Amino acid sequence: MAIIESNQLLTFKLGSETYGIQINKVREILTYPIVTPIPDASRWVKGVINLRGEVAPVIDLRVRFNVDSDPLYTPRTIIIAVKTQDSRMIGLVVDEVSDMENVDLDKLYPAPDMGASIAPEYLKGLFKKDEKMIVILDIDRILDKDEMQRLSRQTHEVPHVYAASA
Amino acid sequence: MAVFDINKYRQMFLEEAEEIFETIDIILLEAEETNSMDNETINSLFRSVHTLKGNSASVELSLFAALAHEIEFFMDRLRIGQLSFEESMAGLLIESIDTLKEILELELSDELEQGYYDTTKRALLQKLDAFSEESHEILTLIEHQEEEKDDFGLLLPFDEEGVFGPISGIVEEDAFGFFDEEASEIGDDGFGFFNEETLINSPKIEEDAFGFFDEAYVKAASIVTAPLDEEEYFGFFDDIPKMIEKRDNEVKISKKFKPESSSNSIRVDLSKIDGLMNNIGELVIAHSMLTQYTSTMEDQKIKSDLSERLDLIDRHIRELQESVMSVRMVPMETVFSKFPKVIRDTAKKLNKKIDFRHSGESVEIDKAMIEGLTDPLMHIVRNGLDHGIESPQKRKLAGKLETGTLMMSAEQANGQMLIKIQDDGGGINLARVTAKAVENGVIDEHQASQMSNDEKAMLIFAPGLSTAEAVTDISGRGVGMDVVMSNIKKLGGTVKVDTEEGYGSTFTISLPLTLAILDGLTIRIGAEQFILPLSVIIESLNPEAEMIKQIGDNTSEVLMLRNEFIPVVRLHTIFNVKPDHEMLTDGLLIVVRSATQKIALFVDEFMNQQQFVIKPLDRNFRNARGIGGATVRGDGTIGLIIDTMNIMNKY
Repeated sequence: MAIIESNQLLTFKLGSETYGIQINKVREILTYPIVTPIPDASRWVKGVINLRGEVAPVIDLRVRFNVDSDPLYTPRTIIIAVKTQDSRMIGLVVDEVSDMENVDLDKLYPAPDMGASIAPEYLKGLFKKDEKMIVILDIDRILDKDEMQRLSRQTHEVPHVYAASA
Repeated sequence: MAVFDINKYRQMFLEEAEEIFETIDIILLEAEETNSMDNETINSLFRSVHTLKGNSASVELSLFAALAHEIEFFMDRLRIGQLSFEESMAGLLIESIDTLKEILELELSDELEQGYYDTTKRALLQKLDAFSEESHEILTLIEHQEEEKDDFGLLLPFDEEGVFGPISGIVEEDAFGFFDEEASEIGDDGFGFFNEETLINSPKIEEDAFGFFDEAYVKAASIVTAPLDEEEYFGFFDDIPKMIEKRDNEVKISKKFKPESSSNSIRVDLSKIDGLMNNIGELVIAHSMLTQYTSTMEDQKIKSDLSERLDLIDRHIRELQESVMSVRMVPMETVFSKFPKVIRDTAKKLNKKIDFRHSGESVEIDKAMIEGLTDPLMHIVRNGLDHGIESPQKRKLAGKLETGTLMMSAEQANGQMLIKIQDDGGGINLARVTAKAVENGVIDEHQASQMSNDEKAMLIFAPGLSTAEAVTDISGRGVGMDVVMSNIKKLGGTVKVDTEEGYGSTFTISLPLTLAILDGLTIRIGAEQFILPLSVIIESLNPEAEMIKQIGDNTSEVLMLRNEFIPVVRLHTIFNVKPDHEMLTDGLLIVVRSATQKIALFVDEFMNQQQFVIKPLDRNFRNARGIGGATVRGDGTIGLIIDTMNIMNKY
């Protein structure tokens, strides 16, 4: 049986760009709760929160992809809770949640090398809507456990990982 | 419509089969030991095999099912009385069940060759048929003749003290059996595997609950003759005074497993129970939110009425939490029951005599721990059998009983589970272990000379250390004891070993009762709070200036506490938080156990003590150093649990 990929996207903003993730990965959207910081963690790991009884890390995508290196956190800051392929719950901090979009995943533009911001391996592709571009993130790839562990080890020496690898 | 996935059902069958095999093993081992099998036992065996047959056929394991059918057929004859139970049957049935297990494994992995299957089945059938077709007397005689040439067999002149009366004859011995001129030694063996027989006609005797007749032997049982009439488990050889003395020293420890009936239990995936726990956690949080809301109400009447009802709900939630926790708990029997079979097989392979005892099977343990615990225990036991307990000859020379004793016990003490594995073997050769450790570079000679015996004994847990001269398939590859240590640590426990050369070793494993709940103390450093497990805390104090000593360049501080020097760890630097106090004398020092030593943790203050439900952190991260896990606090926020074991690695 083929894996049916959802063709509905939840779009959100990081800085001025619009990004999208597949809606079937999203569990809930919540406002910024009390986050318990983890000592010695990477800059983009804000800490852990309680997501329906599970201890879920909170990752600030803005810091992760160098959109904003020192963002503000208010009680209105948005967290998108996603569930990865291997059933881990993770909270993603974004600037704002925009909309839902229907896309045909087969008709995406391939992701170009975008230079400094996000390495193409983290993208599923680009999608154009009314002259607007939506960057579709490969959330399982970004939140891959090994990948995160590798990055968190590097972060201490190289603050701008993506600048270095892209 | 999904494709019918046979593998899913096979997996279910396999899980069930493992359980059934375990039950069968227990019954058969007991039958072998007591030489008897009542109707009820035979019936339950028959049902077990029948279930195996039926279920295996439904998951298309036809070869396995066919073999199971043959065994079932044999059992059926036993059940309806066409055959009567003989002592050798238990052994043969154990062998048959082993064959079944092997076939199941091969068939599941698709590696079963028809030729091999046919030979195995034929060989087994021959043995089974031997019971039904041939005359017992003749068969036993023939078998008996062969038996005398058996590798394990020993011929000893009949005992001279005349314990057995004026009849002289031949006494045999096999791997398990044991007999000696010194009658006194016979009785020492609680497990009593020996076999005596004379070839001269004597009246038949009744043997109950005493002899452990090995499979081949037992065939001779119908002509076993000895003028001992009322053999009982304990009262054997009562007429010899020295035996009684020795007997009295022995404590009878339960050796029998009572297989639980499985009819009123269900199989539940552990993750479902975890899900339940999470739901209860949410309930607790919702409750505390409501309580908080109530406290802001202005109408006093409504407020107190509501509080009262909320208290009631609180109690129910707690009870619910406890009930769900208890679902996770299973008796230690589940762990112990895996051992008699392994020990019997290993002992046979090593040609040693082992008496396995255990106590505390009703002590309950977290189901999630069993998996992690079985391997280390198995390893310690095998090591004990291989290296610990000496060969019967050696033991005799050392003036010990030929049969070694391996004792396993479980108890709860101080909120911890203690599991002891004790053998009366040769103990650990500390000099050799130390030499080997120096040779492998685990420690240097200077360290070696400074070590106490206890510390030396702990060296066996160092990686890559095996003092066994020969590598056997049982143990000796030097991987293992370090794995034992790391597995136990993973469960939040510790291992200790006490050994005395020539007298045996005792391994003591202490474990938390459950993996899910932790008694903890909340501590505060600046604005952050952390949870410290109560089990590691030794004491806490507000230090005086003169108790603090600086070492070297003033960066390391030690606490001098009653002639002990304890390194001070400033938690705020490790966790990178801003503390209220920088001066050690302003805050509190908590002395805790770390991996091998005591350390003093510097904190601003400690808050309250309560129970926490532990959640793993490392599903998403490498474990942050100094942090062992997380928990959801009453208000819904996450608290981090300090792990004192790896806190020192930071430096």
